Amino acid sequence: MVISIEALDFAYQAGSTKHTVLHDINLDFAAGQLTAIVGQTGSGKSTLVQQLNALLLPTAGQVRVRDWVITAKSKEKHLTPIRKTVGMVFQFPESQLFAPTVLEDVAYGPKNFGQSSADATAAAKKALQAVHLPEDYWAQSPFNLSGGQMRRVALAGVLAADPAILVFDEPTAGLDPEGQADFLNLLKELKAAGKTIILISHQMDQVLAVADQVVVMKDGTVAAHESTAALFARDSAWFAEHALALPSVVAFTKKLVQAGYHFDQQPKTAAELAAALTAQVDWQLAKALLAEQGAGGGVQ
Amino acid sequence: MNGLVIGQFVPGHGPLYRLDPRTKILVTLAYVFLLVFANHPWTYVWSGIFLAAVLYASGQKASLYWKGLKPVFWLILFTVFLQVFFTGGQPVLWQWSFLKVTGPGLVNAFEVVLRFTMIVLMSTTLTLTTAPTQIAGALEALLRPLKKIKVPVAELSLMLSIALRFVPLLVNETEKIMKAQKSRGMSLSSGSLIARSKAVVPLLVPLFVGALQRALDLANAMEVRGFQSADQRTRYRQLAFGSLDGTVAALTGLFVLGFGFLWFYQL
Repeated sequence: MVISIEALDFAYQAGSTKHTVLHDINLDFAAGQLTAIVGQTGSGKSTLVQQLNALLLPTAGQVRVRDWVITAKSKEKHLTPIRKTVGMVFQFPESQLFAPTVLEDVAYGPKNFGQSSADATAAAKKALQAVHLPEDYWAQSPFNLSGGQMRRVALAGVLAADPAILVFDEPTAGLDPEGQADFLNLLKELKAAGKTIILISHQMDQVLAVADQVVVMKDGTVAAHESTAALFARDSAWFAEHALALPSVVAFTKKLVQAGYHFDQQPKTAAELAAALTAQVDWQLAKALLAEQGAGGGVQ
Repeated sequence: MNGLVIGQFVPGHGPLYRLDPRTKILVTLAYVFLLVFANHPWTYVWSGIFLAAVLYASGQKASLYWKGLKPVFWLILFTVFLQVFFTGGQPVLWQWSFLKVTGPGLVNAFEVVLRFTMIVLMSTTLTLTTAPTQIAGALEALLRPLKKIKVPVAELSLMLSIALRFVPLLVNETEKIMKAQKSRGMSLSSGSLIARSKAVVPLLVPLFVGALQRALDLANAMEVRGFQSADQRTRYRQLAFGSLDGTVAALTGLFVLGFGFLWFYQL
């Protein structure tokens, strides 16, 4: 396992009182897999992922990232290699942009992680190509770009350090449908390149489309950790109980199953569902029915 | 950032929470003003007793005040350093080059620590027990007489309450940006002083950009909801002095008289 979380508890110290957010978390993340973390707002998803690169330290228990161990006593000066390994993209990451040009901003991470100026610039260019930001924009101020373009620059800023593990905290919030589709494609490319990906999302369609595993959080604990197929095979009542929306494709598939149709596996997109459904239609019968209707002067 | 106590309101149930905010502001101002004139050990003791009573009446834990003092510890230490090593006078207890430790220097340093600590504790009590909106409302009420000389008191009060409202938002925003930049390898705890100063830029630029954007959004949101002039604003909570305010005013009067007596006779 590339990341193991063992008996992790976490509490925020607000004023003089403790506010427990995570309790007895035990999770493993396998290398090369894309794991989605879902759950209601306030269930502890963002707090959990911030333990993975030691932005927050556990109150009890530990996080093991490769050979490094993060505990309550971990010291800031020893955390750089972990942060280089685990790249974190926050919600609305464009709020982290600061440099005079796009290229300089993207090169900031690699430079911090010890790369020479030339290597960092080369890494930045590669990352900007990966997020499909045209070269014309590279010398511009990031603040002159559109919201979607700024988001790409911010993503490139994390990818440039080439982390083996990538954590995305609701990365498509505020993006238009095209931007969301572009991001999903990027996720697929990153996964194909062997990256381990952890994705927090409220969009269950997105989770169904890309995730191998899903972690469901509820009230600071893990309510389920299983394969995407196993999760969506659960009945609708379970999703309602955990305040999760069923992806429209899954909801429709469940209705079709109730109506007598059979699917070997859960279709992930509307196109897959249409194809699976088409395969089950008795075309001879359909043609005969259509012909009968046509002879009667009905539908053309 | 979560440990920042100065300027933060912490809900509680002590008697101070039931006071009119105007009373609290006036008492704090009077205390800070008088403390500047403390000139004798007994004036400090008398001020200390009054402060202890105020802290007790806040109903908050001592650990919270200790937390409030921690961030200003370095500032106090710096002031002490200046007082100890750069105050002239006799007797000279130690000297090396231009640095010297004198008797008056040590006394000054001790007095500075006392004054600083007392002022910080008193003002922390004000903000700890008074919600920012209450402070803004009270200031507006206290400054109202200045309207007669065309001072835009209502606008100033609105600006203050908006500024106070922005403080926790900016603290959250700073935390968020800090986490994002830390994830990209930023370190504020290593390197030379120049390197550390430079490391703040990736924090400050997004913070200012975000704050300006937020201010523009707020201005637009206020305009579309028909904001014309702060003068016409009414308040949900009306300020009113109660019997507790009278008691506090009497006790403060006693403190001022006692202080004046000790100060005048230098007892």
